[in-house]
Amino acid sequence: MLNVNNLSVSYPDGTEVLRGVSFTLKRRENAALIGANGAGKTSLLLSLSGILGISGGNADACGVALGKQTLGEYRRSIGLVFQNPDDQLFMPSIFEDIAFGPRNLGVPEAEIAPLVQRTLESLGIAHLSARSPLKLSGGEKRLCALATTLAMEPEFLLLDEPTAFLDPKARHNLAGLLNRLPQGKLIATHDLSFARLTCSRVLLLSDGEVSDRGAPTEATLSALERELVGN
Amino acid sequence: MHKAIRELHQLENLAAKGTVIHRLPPAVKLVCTLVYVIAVAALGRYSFYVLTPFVLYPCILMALAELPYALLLKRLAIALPFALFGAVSSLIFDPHGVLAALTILLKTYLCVMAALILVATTCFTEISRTLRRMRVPKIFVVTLELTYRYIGVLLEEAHSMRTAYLLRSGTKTRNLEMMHMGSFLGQLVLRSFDRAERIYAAMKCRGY
Ligand SMILES: Nc1ncnc2c1ncn2[C@@H]1O[C@H](COP(=O)(O)OP(=O)(O)OP(=O)(O)O)[C@@H](O)[C@H]1O
Ligand SMILES: [Mg+2]
Repeated sequence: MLNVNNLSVSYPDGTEVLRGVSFTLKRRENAALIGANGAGKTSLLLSLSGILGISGGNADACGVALGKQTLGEYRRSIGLVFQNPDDQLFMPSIFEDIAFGPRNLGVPEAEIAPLVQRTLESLGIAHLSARSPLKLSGGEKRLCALATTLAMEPEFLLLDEPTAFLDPKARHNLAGLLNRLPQGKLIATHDLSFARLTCSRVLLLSDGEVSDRGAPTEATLSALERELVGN
Repeated sequence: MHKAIRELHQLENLAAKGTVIHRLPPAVKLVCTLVYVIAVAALGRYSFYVLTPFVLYPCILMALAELPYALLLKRLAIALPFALFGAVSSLIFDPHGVLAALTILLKTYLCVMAALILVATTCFTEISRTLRRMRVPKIFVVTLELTYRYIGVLLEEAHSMRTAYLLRSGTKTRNLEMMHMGSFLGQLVLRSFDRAERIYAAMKCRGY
């Protein structure tokens, strides 16, 4: 269970992006995080990963609180996939990049190669293993970024705009994959039909607060769309 | 800028060939290069004549590995300013100035060539994996890998900024105007810092 209680987040320059966000995410549950540009979706995911400091409230994942003392343990259960895959890939080859996280978690060297291979295969990108992230297409980078997080086997996945850069087929495959993966997922997206394909619940972020809009039925989504467009 | 990116890739692509030298175990190449560079660097400051046979090493290796001389020479040019600075100062301050200057130039040539040959015949991943296996402390290996990656990121960032600039610059010039250079470079540094910060965040997320 990922519990978020009355979470507030401000940027150093004083911008208050989140003012008391509360929700829970169960294991094996996919929730969509919808909100206008600049609503604070990325900020929420960053703070839930312990990258952006919180100024109030609390959060815990599988019973481990988000806080300075327990950050290492807390992060083990959270996997963040960045909005921009270039921020996530930093090693000279995709193989090394995917191996980076498990190595830090202390996975024995003998198990690294099979683990990387398995992860790549589950995403259908085994052929990219030896490539440099500098020479991949946007969509390929996106899948590799997802692979680096999946290889750490987190309990919860936080995905920031996962469909950006994907072609229709890759988008379709990603939806299938997200439905198959056992982790609980919070998916920040502007793609309402993708939310419909993958999520059982919609969370709307606006004015620094999250409200639960229930299941993504046709009626809910078209009401949401009207609300976001502003008429 | 574009050229710099392409050349970085070119050097990398060279490593994908399959000559005798390319197929040597990376550990052997790494140790050879290290021993060679240390030997060259350790020789005295007037050892120009002793150094001459060392020229054989890059020549033989480049022939065996079928490396294009011109490409490596261009890369070598990066080190030239430093070597020239050393050479000129010894011309002025050293009693045997000419010999010392020649020695500095030759030493630079040999060391940089040895390093370039290593890079052009061994793919980077192999080098870092070998270093890891040779029990080089993790922090050095990761720093090396990150440096390598950051050079790419910096060049790409600069390239995309330059493209954006040229698309809207209106003039027909292919290069930045001097008056915009300052803000361009400032922005490049800011963007690179930003990127570096986010990459560091990504590393922390993965247990670094
Ligand atoms: N480093 C920063 N410093 C100050 N303010 C910031 C910073 N990053 C973002 N903001 C501000 O915080 C607010 C929320 O930004 P955030 O990136 O979380 O939005 P978002 O919901 O992810 O938007 P998008 O859909 O465009 O990705 C915006 O108003 C933005 O201007
Ligand atoms: Mg965002």
